[in-house]
Amino acid sequence: MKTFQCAILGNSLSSEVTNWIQSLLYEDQLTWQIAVSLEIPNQDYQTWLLSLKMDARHRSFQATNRECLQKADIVFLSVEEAASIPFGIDTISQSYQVIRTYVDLGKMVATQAPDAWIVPLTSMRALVMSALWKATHSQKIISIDLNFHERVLAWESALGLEAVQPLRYVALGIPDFSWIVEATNQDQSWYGEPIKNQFVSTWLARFRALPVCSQGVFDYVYPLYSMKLPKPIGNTRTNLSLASLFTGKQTLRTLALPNTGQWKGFPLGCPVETLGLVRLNQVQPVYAGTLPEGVTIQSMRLYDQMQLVVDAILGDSSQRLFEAMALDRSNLSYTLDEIRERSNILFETWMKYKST
Amino acid sequence: MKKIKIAYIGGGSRLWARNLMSDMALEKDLGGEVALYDIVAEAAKNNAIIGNNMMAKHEALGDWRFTCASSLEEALTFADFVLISILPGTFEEMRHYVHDTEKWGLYQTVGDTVGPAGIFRGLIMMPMYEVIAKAIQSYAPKAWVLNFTNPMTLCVQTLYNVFPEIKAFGNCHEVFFVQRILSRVLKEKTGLDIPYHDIRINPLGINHFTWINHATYDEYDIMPMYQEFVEQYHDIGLLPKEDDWKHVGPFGSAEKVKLDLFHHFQVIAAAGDRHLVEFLPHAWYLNGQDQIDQNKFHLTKVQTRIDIMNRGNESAIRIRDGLEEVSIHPSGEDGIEQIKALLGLTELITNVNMPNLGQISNLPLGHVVETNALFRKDSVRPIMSGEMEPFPATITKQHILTHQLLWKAYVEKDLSFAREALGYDQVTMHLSPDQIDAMFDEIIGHIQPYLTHYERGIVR
Repeated sequence: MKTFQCAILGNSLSSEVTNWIQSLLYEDQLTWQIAVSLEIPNQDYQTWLLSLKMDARHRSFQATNRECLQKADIVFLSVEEAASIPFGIDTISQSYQVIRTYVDLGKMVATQAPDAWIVPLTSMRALVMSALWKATHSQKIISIDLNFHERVLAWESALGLEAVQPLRYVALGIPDFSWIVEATNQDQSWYGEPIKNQFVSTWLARFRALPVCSQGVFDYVYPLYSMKLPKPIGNTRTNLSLASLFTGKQTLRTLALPNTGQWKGFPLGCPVETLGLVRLNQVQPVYAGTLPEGVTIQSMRLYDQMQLVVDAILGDSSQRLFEAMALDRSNLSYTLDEIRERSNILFETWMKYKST
Repeated sequence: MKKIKIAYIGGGSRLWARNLMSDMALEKDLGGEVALYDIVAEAAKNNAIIGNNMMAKHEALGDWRFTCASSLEEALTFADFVLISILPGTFEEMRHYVHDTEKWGLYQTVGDTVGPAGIFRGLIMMPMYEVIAKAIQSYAPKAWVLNFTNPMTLCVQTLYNVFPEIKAFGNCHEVFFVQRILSRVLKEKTGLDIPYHDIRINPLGINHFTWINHATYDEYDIMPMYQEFVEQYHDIGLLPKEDDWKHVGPFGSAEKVKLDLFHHFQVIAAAGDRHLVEFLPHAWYLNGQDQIDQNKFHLTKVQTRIDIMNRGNESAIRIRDGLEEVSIHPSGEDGIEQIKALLGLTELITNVNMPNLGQISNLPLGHVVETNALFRKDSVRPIMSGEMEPFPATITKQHILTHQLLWKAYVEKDLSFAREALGYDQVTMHLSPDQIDAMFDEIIGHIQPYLTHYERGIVR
């Protein structure tokens, strides 16, 4: 039985870390050594350990970052953060500390464990992935949305379709703002027939696709639309397991990877949430094409804004921060001078944080 | 003297046609036939008379014969060059798509490129340009096509979308005005008095939203000089006195917007202020008359354009009847120089609008962009101009994607895509979907006779 090494770097051990690790431990034929960074307080580590259902095959220990990364096959990055939605001013405000930490960790992984898979566990998935891509250019950065499947099921239910397993769908978009571009219930295509359901027709008439984002994200991107997404179907969380990377058993997963062409016309390196074929030490994105033009416009705006934020942080640039703020929807009613004033306040706060 | 045939589509134009005829008259190396075609045949006839009168003047150096063509086929057959300058629809439709938006607090300064006006004008234009592109494909597939019509980007894009092998580019003089400002900067900072066209620039963007990130004259780097210049004039603008902007006419401004944009983004905005503001969020420069006055530019009323047209028509009739003398003067446009270069008589580097082959590395390939290009015999090669600065690139991409949505409306014959595009425009983004729908429905109602191409989406 082959033993694999998993490293957890950062400063927090959330329930998401537990879920991810549990999904790896679940596979019978794998044995894991889980190395947890010493930068995570030992007390937190001990509490976390108790929450894991880990049998005797596996081993967990705390070590320096360098030791954790030795022979690491997969590295989870877990940094404390609390943005209410992954886009907008709130996220930008918090991003300085978070992005800096992720980038430092990402660079460390790229240097000391260049073959390892990098999984940032963050609520700012698109922003963090963009930053990691910019800092490392690693094609092995993966992110999965824990609540994705339940949002897809919500649409299935809203369409009045009987729940089927497996539900087959293709989503596309930047993480936390992705859309269903194709879905079938057995031989029935969601978009193949005229939709009789009034609720769903309204969405399709407006957007020509169905969003798989949270209500908060939707309201941020479309503040004047007053449209309510269907309530997620509870307790059907996405299967996080990436064990296929190590067992070689092929699986299809909706996950976020840097764009290598799966999103036609979108910039390379942009984090893209879509279907990926997971095999032994390999994830191949499935070509997903394009989104409806209107959604593309919004996605591009979000992506460009994230690039500006990343540039602002990595380059300590007040100008890029100002430009990112100028793109923000919540600043649409402000003049450039007013936006400049707001961004200067934020930048000064960032710099104060940096100096401490 | 090189003899050629030029087909002029929109040959009844009051402004562009006369400018061109003037330039032709002053060009000694070229001659031949200019076939004027216009759906208003009378206007083309009048221009033919005006053109031939110009050639009869003693100062005319060219040898041109101006004729009227009764069809596109007649105009285009054997044409070496095709010039297009039309008004999509009439000023009556324009009055609606420019001014009806004021009910929702949206003031439009020019009303022919982006924003609601650009969208509605684009909808009217695309079917017309499909006809033109197909006619060029049939009757003059090897001709070079010079477009002067707005919305420039969408016009040139339509030509390429319909006839991908077309040899077309779009011409715009806005950048030249900014070169003039740069020439002034050089003069103020160094004392050198240089013609504007000797200022070397690297323009990047889409038409009327073009940016300059490199400006030099010989060994002088003008960019840092411009920085100082902006600091000096940012608050007052470029006119000598506080109120001068009020007297510069409906197309003028004190250039305060482009100074402010440099102040904020450190790149030179290379178009007139009235154009620039239409590309940007409403709150920045167009949020009511006070803000507009503060920034010292004018809203060009469509009635002003109608008055100018009427005066042009009256003048044409007087010239035709021998009651008015025709005058010849250089227009400052590049069209004739471009034609000479394409004939191999000269070599030219100037800004044009063509599909992106990589000349702007961070904008989508295939979409029409504006950069410098090298003109030589039968070739126009875009100059690889690098990346646009991040912020202008971001806004530019938003407009490019909106254009793609508009093109989809055309291809699918479905106006619901145009309705969607209206909601994504930078100046309308702050409006609710209900407001967008109301605006769309109202304006569509007024321009419907020009929308027969569209089969769906007229009613929501």
